[in-house]
Amino acid sequence: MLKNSSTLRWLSALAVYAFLYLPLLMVILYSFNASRLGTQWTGFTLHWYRVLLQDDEMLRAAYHSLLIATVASAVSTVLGTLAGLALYRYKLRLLPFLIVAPLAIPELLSGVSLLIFFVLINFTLGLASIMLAHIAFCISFVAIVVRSRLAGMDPALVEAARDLGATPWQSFRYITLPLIAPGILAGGLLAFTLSIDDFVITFFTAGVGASTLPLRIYTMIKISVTPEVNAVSTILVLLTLVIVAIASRLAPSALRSGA
Amino acid sequence: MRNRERLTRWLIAGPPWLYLLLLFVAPTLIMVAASFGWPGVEGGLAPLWYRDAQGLHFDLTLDNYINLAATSLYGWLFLKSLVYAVVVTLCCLILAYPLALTIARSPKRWRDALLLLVILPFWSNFLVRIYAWMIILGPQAGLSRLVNGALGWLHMAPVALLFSPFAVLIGLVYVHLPFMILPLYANLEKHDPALLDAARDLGARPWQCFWQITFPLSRPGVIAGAILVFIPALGAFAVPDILGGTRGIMIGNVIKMQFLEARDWPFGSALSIVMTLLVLALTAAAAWAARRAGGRIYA
Amino acid sequence: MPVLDIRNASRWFGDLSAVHDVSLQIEAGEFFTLLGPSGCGKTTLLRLIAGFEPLDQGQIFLGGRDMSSFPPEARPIHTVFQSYALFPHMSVAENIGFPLRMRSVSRAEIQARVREALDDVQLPQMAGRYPDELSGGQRQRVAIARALIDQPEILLLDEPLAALDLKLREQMRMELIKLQQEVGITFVYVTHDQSEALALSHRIAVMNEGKVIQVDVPDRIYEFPINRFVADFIGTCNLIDAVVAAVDGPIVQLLADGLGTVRAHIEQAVQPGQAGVLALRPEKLRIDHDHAPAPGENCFAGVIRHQLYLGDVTRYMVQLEGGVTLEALLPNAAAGGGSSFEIGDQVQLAWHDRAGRFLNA
Repeated sequence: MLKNSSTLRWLSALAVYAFLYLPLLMVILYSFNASRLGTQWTGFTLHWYRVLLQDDEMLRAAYHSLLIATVASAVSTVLGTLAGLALYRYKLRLLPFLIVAPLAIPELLSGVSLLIFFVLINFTLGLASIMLAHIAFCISFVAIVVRSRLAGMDPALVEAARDLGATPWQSFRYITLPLIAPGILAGGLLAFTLSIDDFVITFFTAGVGASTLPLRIYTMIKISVTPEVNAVSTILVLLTLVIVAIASRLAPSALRSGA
Repeated sequence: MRNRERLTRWLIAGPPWLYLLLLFVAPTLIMVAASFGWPGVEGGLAPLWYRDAQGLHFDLTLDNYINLAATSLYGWLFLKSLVYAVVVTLCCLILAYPLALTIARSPKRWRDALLLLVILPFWSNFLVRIYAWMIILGPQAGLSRLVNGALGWLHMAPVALLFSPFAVLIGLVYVHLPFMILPLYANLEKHDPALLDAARDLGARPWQCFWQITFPLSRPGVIAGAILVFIPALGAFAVPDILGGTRGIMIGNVIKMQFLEARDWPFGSALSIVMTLLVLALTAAAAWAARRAGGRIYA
Repeated sequence: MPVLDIRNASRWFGDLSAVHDVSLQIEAGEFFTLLGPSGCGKTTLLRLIAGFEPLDQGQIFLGGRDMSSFPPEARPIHTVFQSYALFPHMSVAENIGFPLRMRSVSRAEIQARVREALDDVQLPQMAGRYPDELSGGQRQRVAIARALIDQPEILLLDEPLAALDLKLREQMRMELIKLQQEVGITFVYVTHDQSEALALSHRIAVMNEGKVIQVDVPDRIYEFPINRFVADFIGTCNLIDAVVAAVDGPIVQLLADGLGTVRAHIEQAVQPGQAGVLALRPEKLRIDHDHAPAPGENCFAGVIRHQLYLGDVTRYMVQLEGGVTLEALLPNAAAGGGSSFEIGDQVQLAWHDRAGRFLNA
């Protein structure tokens, strides 16, 4: 009786895994499809990747995405680590709310409010506005990762350090920091992927001149779907996979707190 | 001693606090204010106040909210979005539960890998995941032809799978599924296997074990997952925008249109504020429910 | 002058008084133990001494200096934590050398002193290993070496043997005594294990509910507990409610519940009519099949109701005529082994007048 129900469970689990992966695998597969229409398989080709590399707009969007992601993840890692430390050490009233709220409300609301905000203060919409917007939600994310990493650390270690003569700064530098460093790094890497993949907030804060990969993909999807989309999608997916794999090595729990 | 501690606290907590104040709290407050404003001459937002010989005047109005309440279309759209969100949450629950249960009951050394497999698709690009469904549900693709073939055989009219409410629902379920799996798993993993042994020892059959023991204990996880799915689903805009066509519109699309196409920012702000309040109310209700469920069970 | 002078120390958590008006003086070179059940405040008191908790009331003087303005890192006190708290990202050598590094001692000197410390705790080859590669006993030695390397005035030990299994624990006890004698540093030791406290300490402070109940050398704590709690907590003790009938010097005549007239020893003056408890250690009771009551002895007839064979000794539960049941402990000294008495045997239970104690409740 038990055997049967567990087999049933495994089968349904497998079905859900299939549901999760098949769409992505299809996109990846079709990026190599020679056919333009995308439903008939006419042959294996790297043609669409070549087209991609010659698409100036796409390359510009890719450059913007990487630039934004690098800046956003760097700044948010610093600010997010500070926030995570503060959340762990002090009983603050407002900061916990400020950290969780941006992640709890739909991105749409953050996006439009930032749009109004930037326009109202006469801040030109462009790369800078996107960066500022990304940093905001990345801080929350890194803060949560760092805080959970701190919570997992044995508090007796810091006490032992101070007991043995370390000042609070020394115990942070020699004990806390090295122990949470993998978590900080993982948080930063994951913030990088969040920034590269972001669509909704970027959509509202980009203005006219700036373009990122997700925005470009969106335009292509809405206007005319070319198989180029499959190629750029595949690249994005693989890039994300590599970064996430690295991050999961550094701090396995960071991934789960992200979701 | 004390002062040094306070200074350290400001140095650590200050910068992120300040940043979030400027780029999260301020925009939200501005949006609240904007919802009481007039649209600008060329769209956007008209100034909320102006100075003249007599001093400072505020140019505010309740028109936006009045219009919102008076026009039944928006009420309908909110309702529709709520219904969609409920359906999506239920579907996610049904799909996620067996998977979460399987991973939680699997041998310990497999669990991290199995979880990683769940999380990986979530980390891939959001748009790509939606676009993939454009392909699958497209009129030329296998699934559509299969379904329409079957319908034709039953002498029924063909349906378009893409650009329909159905596509929106599938897209939303697909995008949010990991958010339901993870909290459920986190809860199920903590269940003491001895409880089930005890139940079976006392005569419970597998189905009863599930409904009497496992499911009630998992309620906090279910509620956590439900919040994580319901709220983003309610505010969804990209999925209905790409997969929904005209029939799959949700309130998020309307907000986007107000801001980018109609350029009636005050009205868009009012819609956003109403949605925010809705989200806050639901979160509070869910937190209350979670506290009741958690408290009673772990008494 | 005592090396550690605690005066009226108190610490509250909300309405809970974790440490209540505690005063202790600990002399240099002592192995001093804080003993009590969980929640009695012994660990909180240790943390107050180390500086991890602030004093709500009272003062702590170390070598005559008031410690209230000294943070943990400035106090010449080190702690061996219950979980050892070895830094997982540092090697054994780096762990042990940490206090010296915090004092900016030269690298060469640190290396030399660490090597010496490792020899002292018999772990000479372990310098490059990491904590997760060590056994529980080895980790404990590293923790001790780390705490002793810069010669603190006092070493605090928070139940350091709790995580070890029995054999290892007994071995480590001997090593701790030896270590303390060699190093000569004052040890303040916290434990809930009363046999450990009796074995290791020069003096013991028995604590309960945040207060110090009795401070004395081990054999006096065992033989002359100050009240019912201490008598019950240390070792096994028969405790019978009794009232003073008459006083005759150090011997008092009691009327004990379910027992009748019993003579016992007193340490402090008592009044006739005073209520208290008669404390009888099981090993002080003699069981015979026949026994003529002798002067200076209490003797009662009874039946063996229960016995617990423990290999080297047997515990007997003897029900006396008055109804009360007493526990007696007899060594299994017969050459052939086994218990001397069987359940159901009619016996005489006797003990010396001075063997029983009359205590406050």
